[in-house]
Amino acid sequence: MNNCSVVEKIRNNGEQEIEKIYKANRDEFLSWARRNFSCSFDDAKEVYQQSIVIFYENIMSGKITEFRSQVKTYLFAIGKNKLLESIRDKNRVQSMEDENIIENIDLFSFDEEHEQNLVLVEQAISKLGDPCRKLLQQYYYHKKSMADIAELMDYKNADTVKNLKYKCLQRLKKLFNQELNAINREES
Amino acid sequence: MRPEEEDIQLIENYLSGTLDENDQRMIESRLTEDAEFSKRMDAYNILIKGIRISGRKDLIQHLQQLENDLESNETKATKTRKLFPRGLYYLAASVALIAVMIFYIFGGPGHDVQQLAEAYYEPYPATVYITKRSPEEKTAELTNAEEAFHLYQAGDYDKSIQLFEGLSVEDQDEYTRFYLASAYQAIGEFDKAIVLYEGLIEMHGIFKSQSQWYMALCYLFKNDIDASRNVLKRLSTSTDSYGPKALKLLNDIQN
Repeated sequence: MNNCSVVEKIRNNGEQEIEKIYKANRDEFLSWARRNFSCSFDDAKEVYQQSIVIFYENIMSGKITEFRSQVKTYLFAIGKNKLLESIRDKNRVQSMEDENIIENIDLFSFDEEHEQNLVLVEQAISKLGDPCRKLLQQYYYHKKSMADIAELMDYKNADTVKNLKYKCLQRLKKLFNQELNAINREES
Repeated sequence: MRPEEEDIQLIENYLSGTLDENDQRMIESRLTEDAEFSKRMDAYNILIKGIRISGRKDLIQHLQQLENDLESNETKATKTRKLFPRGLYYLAASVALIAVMIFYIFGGPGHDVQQLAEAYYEPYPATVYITKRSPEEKTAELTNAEEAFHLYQAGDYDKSIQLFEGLSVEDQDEYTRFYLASAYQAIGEFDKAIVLYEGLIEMHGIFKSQSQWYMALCYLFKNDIDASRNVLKRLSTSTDSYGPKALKLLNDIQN
């Protein structure tokens, strides 16, 4: 498979391509991780899933535009870093949260209030429901364009999506404020 | 565009670092002077971050579901294998060989390489380790490695894999790695077997030819004819008994 086209395929057809890559490299990765890092099967699986997610996010955010080596080599390099990291620091969930996802958006330090607000946003997102939740995730997490989302979610055109995205964001903001007010009322 | 919508766009561009220098400076000065704008920036920053985290969690959940499906399929495959004791494998291999021969005799169109692999494949006999033991040693309690070999010999590949995998680094050697690979191959875990065979080939040890032969069969089972052919070509120059076998299989593949 042409490595350059892999980037395009993932960008155009994210989850399906990621599934293929996941299946194609899984057994080899798990054996390799267990042999070289003496980790359990469950730990190896967890690291593999994290590596796949980072791999996906790097492609969708444009950090990777082409591969100089094979997909497998790149994936194993991420895995190796994660395995070494997990040996150094067992608190893998935190380390994963800290890197990558935050990107340039991470302008504020991780204080307690910030963490609490993130939990409230997550609660608000779960109340938001589809199609808003899916639309916002497609735009902000999967980095899809308005036109792509229109096609994917069967909307008339990019302008419709843009308008809907604004409304969804406003709804999310409102739900978030409701969650925040509820917490403040409980505390006072 | 609504004023707040414009602000959202500006904030998004600022946060993603896609603003030019002038706009960047303008935003920074507005952030210090306009408390309302600064508050809005904080709010959207946290919302966007929350959306991304929820997106990531959904992706991880999706992968976990995929993982569960794969594991469930593996379990089913293992159970199917267990239904066929080793004797039946030989029987199946013989039947497959006859089928291949009939195919050749009647000049059928393009044979199935997997069927060819079945015809050539026989689990490697677990004789090497056992014959190493002296009669006195045979009375001693079995070590995990020995137990694993016995289970392999009895055709209980799953249990033998568990024991081989659980061996400490000191207890692992060429023998245990080779039989672990063979056990994986016997239950149809070809990718796992291939990784182990590759390591053994690189070692240039006593199982090099065997590893090449069985790895070539793994590739055939996986329908990867090119990879199988490459391995067989290298093996065909070998002076041991595997050289002629490799040459014969190569010919069969090419026909």
